[in-house]
Amino acid sequence: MTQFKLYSWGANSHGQLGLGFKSEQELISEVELPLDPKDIKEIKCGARHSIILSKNGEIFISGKNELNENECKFKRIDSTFKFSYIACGWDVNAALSFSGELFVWGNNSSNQLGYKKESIKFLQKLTLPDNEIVKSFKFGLKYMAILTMSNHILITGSLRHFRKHAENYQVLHHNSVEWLRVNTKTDNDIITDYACGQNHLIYVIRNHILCSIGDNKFGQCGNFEIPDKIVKLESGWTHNGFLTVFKQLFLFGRNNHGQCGCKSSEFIVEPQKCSISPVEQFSIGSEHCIILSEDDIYTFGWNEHRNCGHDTDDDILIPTKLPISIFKKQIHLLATGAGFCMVLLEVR
Amino acid sequence: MSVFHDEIEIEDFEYNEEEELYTYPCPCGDEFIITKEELMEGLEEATCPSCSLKVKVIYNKEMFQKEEDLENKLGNLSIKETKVCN
Repeated sequence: MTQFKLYSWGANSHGQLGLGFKSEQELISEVELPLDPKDIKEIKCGARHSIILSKNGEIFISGKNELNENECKFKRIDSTFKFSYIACGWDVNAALSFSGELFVWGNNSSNQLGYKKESIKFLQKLTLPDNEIVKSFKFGLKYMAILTMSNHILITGSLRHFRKHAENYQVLHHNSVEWLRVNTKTDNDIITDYACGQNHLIYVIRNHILCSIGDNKFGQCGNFEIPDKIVKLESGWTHNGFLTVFKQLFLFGRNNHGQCGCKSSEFIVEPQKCSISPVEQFSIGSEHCIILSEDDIYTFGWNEHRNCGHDTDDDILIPTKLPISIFKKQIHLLATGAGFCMVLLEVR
Repeated sequence: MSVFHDEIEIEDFEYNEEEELYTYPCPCGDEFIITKEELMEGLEEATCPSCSLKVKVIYNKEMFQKEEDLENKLGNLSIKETKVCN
């Protein structure tokens, strides 16, 4: 017999850990849920809230958000729709309904939800410029990126950091706000993954070529050809990680808190292989990382709010195993918010 | 001398008119804050109430200085008006 358990740790100023109370920070704690943890399909975390998608398409939120103010426990949102995919940004959310409609809600002060209004306090349906069809969507700090079925990335929200550097985009107008459409060089350049940072966007072409646009103050924007197939890409605020088909994790970008998992320098300008291998899963928070290697979880990076789960406020400069026996189990899902982590475990 | 987490241009901050302060997200989930008054005084350090990180605000000090001068002038003007009413 196995059962699933959800654990969280790190910053909890607004109840984002789902523990039923607010606090400055918490060490590893079990989360009580209004659903059976085995029915969780996705966990996504923002700055002050977390969101869970169940396998039957319901959404649960804990922490500060525009729908249910300051809930410290996961609570189901009322909706007549069921959802198949969710994304969570700093203080924004998006969900794709079973019938393929995109809904958005949250803070919209930078028009990051594709409308021109301060905030959206209900699930607002969003259509795309030129009636493009949504494939997936992710949030940067103050923008939303949408990959469409026509192999375009559409960006809306704060666009100034992309305008400075991007050459290969078109400006579009839709819903009275500006969008950028990132174009690939040729029609064969299929975008297979992408990730959103503070002020940069990185994407993978044909599973092998990394391309970036936006702010590159810390070496977070790189263009590299990777010999092995990239199966997953994620970004923190100013660093990136990608996992290859051979379960090797590479990281690059800013490393002033050890968020790239090494001590060598403050900036890692070329992808560097993580010292832990094989890596099964990983997730990147604003300035920290969590990885799963076989039966162990490792964390590294900024730890001021115990966001790496280690009981110190010092940075964790190299991947460090969580010293908790409960993790000697099969892990199901990893998620990171701004200053916190969540893991779903299968416990025997 | 403090070490800044980052340097952020004022255009990236959000302005709260009611409280007269500028905010920008902090990686911990809270916000870096600097008041309009501090900017008019020429200060450039925005701090986060929840953690030790701080950012340097990049802005045109002369512009804020001019705004302060204007506010002072308007302030003096309203005092004079009050006297006239009396």
